[in-house]
This record gives sequence, structure tokens and C-alpha cells, in this order.
Amino acid sequence: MKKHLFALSAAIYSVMSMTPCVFAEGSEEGAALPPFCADLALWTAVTFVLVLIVLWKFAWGPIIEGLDKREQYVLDQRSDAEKANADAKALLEDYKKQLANAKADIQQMKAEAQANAEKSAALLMSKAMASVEAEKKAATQEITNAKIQAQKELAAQSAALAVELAGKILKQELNPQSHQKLIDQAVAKFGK
Amino acid sequence: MDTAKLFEHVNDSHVFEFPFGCEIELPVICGVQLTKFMVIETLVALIMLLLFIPLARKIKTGQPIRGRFSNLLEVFLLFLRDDVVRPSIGHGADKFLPLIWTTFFFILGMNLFGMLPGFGSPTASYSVTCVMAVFALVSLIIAGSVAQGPIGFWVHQVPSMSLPFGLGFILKPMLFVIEVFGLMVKHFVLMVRLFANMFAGHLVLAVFTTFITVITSSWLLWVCVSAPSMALAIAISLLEIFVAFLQAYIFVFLMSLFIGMGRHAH
Repeated sequence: MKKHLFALSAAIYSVMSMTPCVFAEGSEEGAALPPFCADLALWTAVTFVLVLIVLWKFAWGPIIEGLDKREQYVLDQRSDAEKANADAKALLEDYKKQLANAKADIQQMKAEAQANAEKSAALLMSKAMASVEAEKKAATQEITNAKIQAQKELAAQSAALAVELAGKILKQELNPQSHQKLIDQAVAKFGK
Repeated sequence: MDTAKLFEHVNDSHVFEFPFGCEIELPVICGVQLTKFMVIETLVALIMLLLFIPLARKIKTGQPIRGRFSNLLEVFLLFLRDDVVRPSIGHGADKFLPLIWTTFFFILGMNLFGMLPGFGSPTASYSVTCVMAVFALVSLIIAGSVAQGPIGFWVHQVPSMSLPFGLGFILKPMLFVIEVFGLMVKHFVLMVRLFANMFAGHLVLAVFTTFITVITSSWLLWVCVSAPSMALAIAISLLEIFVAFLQAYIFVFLMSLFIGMGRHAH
């Protein structure tokens, strides 16, 4: 390998030193283009090959590797993102279904609650009505009892008054007019 | 106007002529005369090493790189890979990336050096573009021989066609010669296109700027000529920057296309 490289270098050097480039100033008067410069061409070839080899080893190789790595990373990320997106969509559908079910349940519960409330209200109303009726009945009874009691007390008081009147009469001399007057007074008093 | 002097600014020389009369005579090393273009090529090679080896260290990790210039270089690399090499060569194109990347940046660097005062474009010399075209041809032959076999590559230069008995023996050798000649012509054109574009562009620039030095008879005439000359020189310089990129792109695009064609039978 070293032998070959040495031979190649020697050949390049000999060509370059044997074929110097003819510059414009040394060329024929008025010549537009210089002739083909073998030394420049060889220099170009050697420079290009050297830069190609060095860059291939130290730049292009790692760059291609890095770009491929990044491309793979981006593809993986994209694939993960697509998977996550699909999962999220499935989850969203699931949540939507759950939400729809929950809405139906809520409607049903609301209807049941309303029916129960109406039922309870009716029950409470009937109980209240019954209670009020009972209270009214008790109050009426109490009033009746109080009236009877009052009448009884009035009768007793009338009797006592009559007795008292009678005593007074007995103590006085009674004639038919005064007797009648007393009776009228007593009746009038009683009527009040 | 001395045309020989004009061409001196475009052609290769053993002297670097910088503005304000500064000249650097290049030495003869071991019997080899160093020239301006040789030095520029070496500088381009060194710049490429200085740019791409550190960039490779950054990209190797696989993480997105930081820095505007690094990203700019990566844009070039990815553009060449995704829009030039892969579509042109097809399956297994990535194997040719190092060759195409090196060719592109080597040519681009040589083209752009012509925009610096005192330097020049080595690609304005057909001695340089010829070498690049030969590399393109050799790459095509090697790639084709690897893909189709050393004999298959040459046999497949002739398009497959159904010919009446006997006619094939006459036509196919003729077609082979024409196709091989076509192959050479394609690469010759590749050489001439790059050389002619760069040479002509720099020659036009040299002509416009030489007007300034030619007119010496009258101060007023000098101003009247210099101002449009400078304006045109600036415009052509801007165009030349574009042409520098365009020609480098065209060279590697056609090179990739030829390699792609060489790897697949007609």
C-alpha cells in the first residue's frame, strides 16, 4: 500500500515538475486562453481527492450518521405522536359515550326525582290537610265544650240569681204587680 | 485596451495582485511553480475542512444543531441530499452523498473566491473543470459498473430494441459508438459549461472595471464612464454570486443525474 502511494506521488510530482503551466503573459500576444495546464489539473485532482477522503472520514460519515439518527428520531417521535393521537381519539370517543350515558342517566334521575318530589308533596299535602282538619275539628269541639260550659255556668248563675231574687222577694211584701215586675226584670236580665 | 492584460486578471498566474499595488510572487517548491489557482484550491479545501469537521461533531449527536451558520450549511447539505441526489440516483443514493457534497462545496468555494479582490476563480480555467468532469465521468463508470456489472454497464449503453434478424449486428455497434460518444460529450459539456460561465462572468467584470483605467484623457469623461462602469460591475458581481451557486448546483445536479442513469439500464 505504502509502495503504491509512493509511486503515485512520484508520478504526480514528475508530471507536475515537467509540465509547467504557461501563463498569459508568456503566451502568444492576444491569446485569449492559456493552454491546458497539467500541473494545475493534477493539483486540482490531488486536492479534490484528499479533501474528499478527509471529509468522507471525518465529516460526511458522521454527518450522514447524525442525520439518519435524527431522521429516525423524528420518525419515531411522529409514530409515537400518531399513536398518542389515536389513543386520545379513542379516549375521547369513550368519554363522549360516557358523557352521553351520563346525560341519559341524569335525565332519568331527574324525572324520577321530580316524580318522587311530586309524590312526596302530595303526601305531605294530604297529611297537612288531615292535620288541619283534625285541628279544626278539635277546635270546634273545644268551642262547643266551652259553649256548653258557659251555658252551664250561666244556668248556675241564673239559678243563683233567681235564688237571690227569690230571697229578696221573700223579704219584701209581694203584690201581683211587683211580682210580675220582678219576674220581668229577672227574665230581662236573663235574656241579656 | 490591452486584451492580454485583461485576461491576466481572469487566468491563472504565479503572482497574486491585490489592490493598491500589493503583489505576492508565488514560490517554486521542489521544481513545481505554485500558482494562484493552486493556492486558492488549497484554501478552499482547508476552509471546507474547517467548516465541515466541526459541523459533523455537532450533527453526529442526532440532536438539532444550534447556530445560524451551522443551520445554513445543514440546509445546503439537506437540499442536496433530498432534492438532488436522492431523486436523481434513486435507491442507494446516500452512498454518493460524500462525493456530491464534496464536489458541490469544492466548486462553490472556487467559484466564490473569484468575488474576492486579488483572488480568482479556479473554475474559470478548463484545466480545473476538466478534472472535475473527469471525476464525474469516472464516478459514473464506477457506479454503473458496480450496479450493472463491468460488462453489463457497457452493454446497456445500447438501448434494448427489437430489430429484424441481422440488422442488430450492424446497428448495435454503431449505436454503441454513438452512445459512448454521447457519454463523453455530456461530460465535455459539463466541463465547458462551468468553465465558460465562470470565465465569461469574470471577463465581463474585468472589462467593466478596465474602462475606468482606460479613460485618462478628460476628467469629465472619466467620471461619466467610471460611474456606470462601477454600477455595472456591482450588478455583474451580484449576478456572479448567483451564478457561482447556480453553476455549482447545475454541475452536481447533472453529475447525480448521469450517475443515476449509469446505474440503471436503458
